[in-house]
Amino acid sequence: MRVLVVDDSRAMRMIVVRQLRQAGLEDADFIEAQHGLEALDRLSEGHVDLVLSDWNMPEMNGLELLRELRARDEQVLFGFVTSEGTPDMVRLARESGASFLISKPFTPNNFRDTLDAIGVQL
Amino acid sequence: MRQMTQWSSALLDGVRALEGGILPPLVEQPVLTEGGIPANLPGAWVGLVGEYRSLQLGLVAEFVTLELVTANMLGTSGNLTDIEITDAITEVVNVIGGVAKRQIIEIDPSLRSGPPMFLFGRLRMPTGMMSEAFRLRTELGELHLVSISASGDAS
Repeated sequence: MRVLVVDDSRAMRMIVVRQLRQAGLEDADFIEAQHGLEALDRLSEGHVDLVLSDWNMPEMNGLELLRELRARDEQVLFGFVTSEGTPDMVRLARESGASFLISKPFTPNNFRDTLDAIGVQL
Repeated sequence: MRQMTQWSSALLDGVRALEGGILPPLVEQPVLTEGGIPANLPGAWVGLVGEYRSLQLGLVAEFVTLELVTANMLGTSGNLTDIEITDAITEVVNVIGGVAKRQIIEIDPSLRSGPPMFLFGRLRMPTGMMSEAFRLRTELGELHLVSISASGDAS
């Protein structure tokens, strides 16, 4: 499985990857991007099964990234991992085609339950 | 002792949500300190701004403590660069602010987060604002959680 983690904080990317491994994705191949534009570059370089993206980022934010992917008819599984998570943002994420939104702080159990719920094989 | 504001209560919920995870365990309950913003300590700040409520939130400490907190957060023991430390602490304050925002947004649905920043010096307090500072004594040293809000936003 190939997972793209998008966050402008390197620390948070490291924590997300570590917790995903603890959640059961030990053997996944993780790639990273600092913002939406860089994520589009990573996605153009090869197949990705799951995108986990922060919401607020420079250059291109997570919602813009998701909308760009859907506009390109790219149906990759997409979830937000963000310090946001207000009801409006959850609604926007869902309407734009996200499969889930996990609010920071999170635990490996949050990832396990969420990925299990959307049918990701752990 | 002064009564805690809504903001302080929400921010301390944020700290509790991170304690033992990306923040080290606290060795005592947070203490509301007198004297305002601790002088000249570096740290990360984020603004939460809405039509009816607004706040500047900071997490400040001696830089060596911020370095220890970062190492603990990243699970590393090697030398950390200033960029790694400022990035990590900025993310911590952003997450604490996010937890608080999810509570306060019921009172002010227009509330939005601004971009977080790291300051190596003291944030000057604007006129007409009030500040609160909590001392967070952790296993890795003392942190200070500081909030600056308009006086009318406090209760």
